[in-house]
Amino acid sequence: MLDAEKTIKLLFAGPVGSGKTTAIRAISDTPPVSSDVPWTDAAGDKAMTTVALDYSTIRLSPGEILHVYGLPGQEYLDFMGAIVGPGALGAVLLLDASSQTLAQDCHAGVEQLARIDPALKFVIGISKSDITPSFSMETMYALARRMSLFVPIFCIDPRDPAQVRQLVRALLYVL
Amino acid sequence: MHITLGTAGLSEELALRLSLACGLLAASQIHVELQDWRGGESDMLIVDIDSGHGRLAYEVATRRNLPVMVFPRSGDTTTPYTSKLDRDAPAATIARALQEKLQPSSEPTSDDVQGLLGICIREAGCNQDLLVKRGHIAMILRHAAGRILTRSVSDLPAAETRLLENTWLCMARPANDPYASEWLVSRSLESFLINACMKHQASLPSLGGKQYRLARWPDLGGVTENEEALRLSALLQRCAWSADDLAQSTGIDATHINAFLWATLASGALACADSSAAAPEAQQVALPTASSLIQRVARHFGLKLSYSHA
Repeated sequence: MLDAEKTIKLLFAGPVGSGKTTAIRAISDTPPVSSDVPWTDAAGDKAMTTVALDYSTIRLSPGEILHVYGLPGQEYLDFMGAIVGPGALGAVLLLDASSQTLAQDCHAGVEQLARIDPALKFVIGISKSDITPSFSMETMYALARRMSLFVPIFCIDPRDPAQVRQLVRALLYVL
Repeated sequence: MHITLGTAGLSEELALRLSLACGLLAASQIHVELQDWRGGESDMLIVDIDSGHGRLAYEVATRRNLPVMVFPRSGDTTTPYTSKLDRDAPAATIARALQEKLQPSSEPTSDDVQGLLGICIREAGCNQDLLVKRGHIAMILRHAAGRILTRSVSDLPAAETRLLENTWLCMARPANDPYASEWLVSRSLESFLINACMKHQASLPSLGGKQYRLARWPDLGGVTENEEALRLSALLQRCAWSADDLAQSTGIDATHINAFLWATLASGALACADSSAAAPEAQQVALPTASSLIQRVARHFGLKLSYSHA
């Protein structure tokens, strides 16, 4: 059993379909262990959805591993955050630019992370901004101001390892 | 200094006061030739927006990126013209405004850069989508949204290469854009500007002396090859810095810093700080040294955080 106080953890949070599993896969040494089941919601291209969580590892050195957890996006699985989250270095909150509930998703994600640890540092990644013509960063900036968030907010493609790493780098700069 | 000022749409009374103002400039060794502007060559235009001819001249000058000073409409205090003259001011006041424009201080301003970068700087804060064109390259600037739209991916590096060329045209995007379906590629405007300015860092005027501060983190999602951008963002978020102080404190090449500042000025993320604020001493800014754990994680992700950072 992993000792929560000694493991080095990085969290990925965000709503269903925001790209958490994809992003973790992009930067991990090993393919993530995901509890995926077919997603029966007919909307969008998403074929599978994660229940429980994603887990993968990044080897920092021969004796040291960074454990990467993707928290499930479903509200009824919110309790998983309290189990895996404590002691995390920080978190990446991924949001879906095409979501009709982007602002609510942001609120929910921030609150989820605050429940894990009110002092947890995080950054925000916005996926699918390139395929959402109506998306505006000003909306995100205004939302961040209202929520008093002073965090990096980057538009990224979660399939691109370099862009996902860029998010993690930004997180390291705010730690 | 000999300059030619073109005028458009000025009333007799305004033209007389302008002429008197130009006469006063001779004391500062600025010799001005005034002429009615018909689209020919001029060092700068002076237009009266109250007249149709003046408004037309303003539009043409803006598209050609010509320096222009405006007598705004009577009572209009909200339209954000780059350079305004007070239509009720006496000749001496107009002369001072002209002198500041013609013999600026050593600090560069938005008029010191042209091309697409100049357009972005001057249109920062514009809520309207703009169509910019240069040859076969056409793009939509959605400044407020922080996005740039192009027809193809190859237009982006082509636009980066031509960032400072003075042949870009700029106009409001039509409300019912007949080519709306052609804008297939959407990218972060901020990432585009940072990448583009880095390509032209040797050509950008120096912002050395003024203090600047980031109002927010810039969108660096697409700036994956530039670790310095992250470091500069972290520092400029904390407090105001001048380019010179940043170079001294971080060891990052000054032209690289300068390019980053220009890019974030153009995107609207960076603003000039209050000049009364004291310059930060590197040791006074509380920048914690990264813990060894974070350093080890950072090393894996290609960062060097052994020095003080934000």
